[in-house]
Amino acid sequence: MNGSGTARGNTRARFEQWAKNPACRANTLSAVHNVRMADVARRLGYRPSFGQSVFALTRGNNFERQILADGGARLLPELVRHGVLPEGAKGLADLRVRMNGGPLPSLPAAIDATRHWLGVLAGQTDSRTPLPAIIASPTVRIPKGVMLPEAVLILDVLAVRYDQGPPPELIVGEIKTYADRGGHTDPHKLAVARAQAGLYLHALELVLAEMGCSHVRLRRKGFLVLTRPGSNFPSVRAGEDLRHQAERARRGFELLEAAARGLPPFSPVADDPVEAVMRAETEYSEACLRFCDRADQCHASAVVEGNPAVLGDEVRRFLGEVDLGRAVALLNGEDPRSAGERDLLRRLRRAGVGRP
Amino acid sequence: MRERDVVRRLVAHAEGRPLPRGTTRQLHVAADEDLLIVAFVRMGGESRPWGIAFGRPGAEPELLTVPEGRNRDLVADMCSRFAPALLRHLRTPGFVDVPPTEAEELRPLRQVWLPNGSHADMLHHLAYAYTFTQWRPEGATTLNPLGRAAGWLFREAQRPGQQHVVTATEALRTSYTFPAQSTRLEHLGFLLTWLDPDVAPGERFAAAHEAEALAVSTALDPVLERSRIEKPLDDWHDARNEGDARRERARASEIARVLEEELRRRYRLTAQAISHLRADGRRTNRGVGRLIDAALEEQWHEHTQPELRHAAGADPPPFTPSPETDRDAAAAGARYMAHLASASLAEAVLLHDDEELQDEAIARGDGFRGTIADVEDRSRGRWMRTAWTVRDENPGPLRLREGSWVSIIGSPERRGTILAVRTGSDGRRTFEVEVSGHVTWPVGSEVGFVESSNHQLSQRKSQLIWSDDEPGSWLTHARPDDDEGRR
Repeated sequence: MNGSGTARGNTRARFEQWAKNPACRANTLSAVHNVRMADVARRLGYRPSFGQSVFALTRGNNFERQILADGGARLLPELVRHGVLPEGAKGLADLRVRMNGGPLPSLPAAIDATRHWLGVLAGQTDSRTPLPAIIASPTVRIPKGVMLPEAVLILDVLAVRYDQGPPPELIVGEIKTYADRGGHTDPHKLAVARAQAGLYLHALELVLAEMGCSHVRLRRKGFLVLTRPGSNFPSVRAGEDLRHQAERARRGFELLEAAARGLPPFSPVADDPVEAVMRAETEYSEACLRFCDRADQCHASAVVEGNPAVLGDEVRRFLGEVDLGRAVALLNGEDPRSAGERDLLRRLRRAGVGRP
Repeated sequence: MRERDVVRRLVAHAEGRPLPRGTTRQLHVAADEDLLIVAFVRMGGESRPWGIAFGRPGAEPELLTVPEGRNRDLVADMCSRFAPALLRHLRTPGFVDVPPTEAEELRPLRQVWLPNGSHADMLHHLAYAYTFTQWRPEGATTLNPLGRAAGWLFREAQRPGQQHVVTATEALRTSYTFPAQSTRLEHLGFLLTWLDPDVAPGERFAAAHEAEALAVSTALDPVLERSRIEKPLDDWHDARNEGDARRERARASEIARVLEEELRRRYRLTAQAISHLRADGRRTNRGVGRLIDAALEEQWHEHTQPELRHAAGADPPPFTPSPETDRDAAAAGARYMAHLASASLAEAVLLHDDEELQDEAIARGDGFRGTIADVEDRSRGRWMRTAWTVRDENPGPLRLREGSWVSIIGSPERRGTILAVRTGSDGRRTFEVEVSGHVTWPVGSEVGFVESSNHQLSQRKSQLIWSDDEPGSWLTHARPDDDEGRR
């Protein structure tokens, strides 16, 4: 939930933005240099369309505040009930910044406090020493070399188990405001939440390694905290397997690094960042409709170019290298001009259309 | 998306218009008096409704709103005013003068039309909120029945081939192939603009895109919330806290005007979808009648009968499924089998009356067409059967195998078994099919076969699963206590 734009330095949203269409250079530039695509769209004369409901934001903040209030009085019992934490687990270390209802003055302070706690946990030698079972909003800066020019991630919540240590075991959790409707919960939203949790798992791995604390155990199965339908009480989904999502994040970081290195030289001070994103090449796909404020402009260009993506990813895959204009010409009886067109015509006939 | 659908989308693009899917209309559109349009709006981040519109096509909707969508008392009040309309529409015992006493009395089938899938999800939210609520005394008399009805409608909406709950976007997508990305096809305004004959073909995408800018889902446009509701709502809270009733009413009206405008649009678009489908020109598939019969049986067993017992004050009260989960392995298994049966029935009954669906089945390998080359009577005593040799000159993909059960296209009751499939050196296929009964079509006539429906088998399983002495009952009839005992 912390990734919803509460801090400019929070990298999670930018990484996810890039991961939705890594083939688009404009998208890569926007993600790497933290240039909002909404600003680009506005400059191009389009209305940004991915605003967030003011009421939903308030609800999200309230929900997080309520479940963490009084030492996690609402969240702790749910985590125990679902086996994330053992019976008797207690204590909460609040690393939230003030703008999110916490005690810390700034993101750098939250980063320092997180490193402090990770160090304490790594150095724990006696599991009877009372340490918190929940760490709220731990904030990490990913070691240099991963995602340029900065990479700060605010995790929603970490559960800590001491019953099989020392060292303790850390479990990554992701908080969302939507209702847990069992098997009817939106699978797309769940997938996004798991992807975010996997990214945090990977970030923690990197930070612990950098701190020389790799002996701290990180559980590969995390948990999601959703709302009980129609209430502000949490519903915990335990045992969420994050292995593949963490691996996706690792690979994503590598690819993003490589993509960033391939970008034209850019100085955020000297260059106009919005202009730079505007000038960069785009790669329109159906996925853009779900996240990119510039999708309208790219769609209009794709129509002019005869890009089959305007009919969706399935049509684009089906047509391969053939553009829409040629595909329509083949449907209207023109002869194929290339091996690709001949193959397309064969497949069109197999599906029952085209001149026999 | 199947290859054939991809190609159809391409053809629709080439023609600059949506293409009808199927030679028949594959869903029931009830008469106005048997059809209730329902549309919701909700506050961002909330799951319960902020406003509800409902009514018959061609009539002005009844509109209910509350100024504060997070106030559960206000929302429950609003829902208890909506409840009687929905419950009467479904002929719910306790809400109609003469309750039905058997499934036949539920005719004609009553439908609930919703703008899109997010409105169907709202039925689930209503079920969560009200099925077991004990909110004030009226909870038991109106809100509990509303929660149960919403829960049943939501569950029914998931059953393949059901005819009670229709989301307008799904109805249009089932009836047409649109030349647009799948992501855009959940927007009702977008789809209807494509179908608008008054919009020139070259301008359709632009017009549809413009229509798409206006929200149709249960959530409002965040910009609208911020620009037209946030301030009046803050002021409504202030006025309420200060006891300024006049200001409170004024702000509530201001908010209501915005919500009503939004509700009206969702309602109007749904009514347009209904009109469009009625004027579509295609006749209703004959198989739809079978699906209506099945839907009425479902309504009787899953909603009306339990409500009769509720209305009679049965003690213990009838079992009410939880909105959360089945809480009963046998019930879950039975519903799974019922859904399998429904899917199989829907596919089978619609296909035999629609040439395009037949072509699709054959294109994906679930059937074949050919010429009868030989007919041989293989009856023994009273066991009548006929072996046909069928030659397929243009074979495509084939998922059927020796032993597969098939039906003659157009005559679903005529069944047979594939005895042999032979492929010649020229690629042509020859099928040997044993058809039950003494069926003698002339040699040389064209015939088609598709995979036979096995819905009776799944239906039977859905009944057997309730028995505690069938194979697998150790699983379906286990209780959590038994597990504890074993450990």
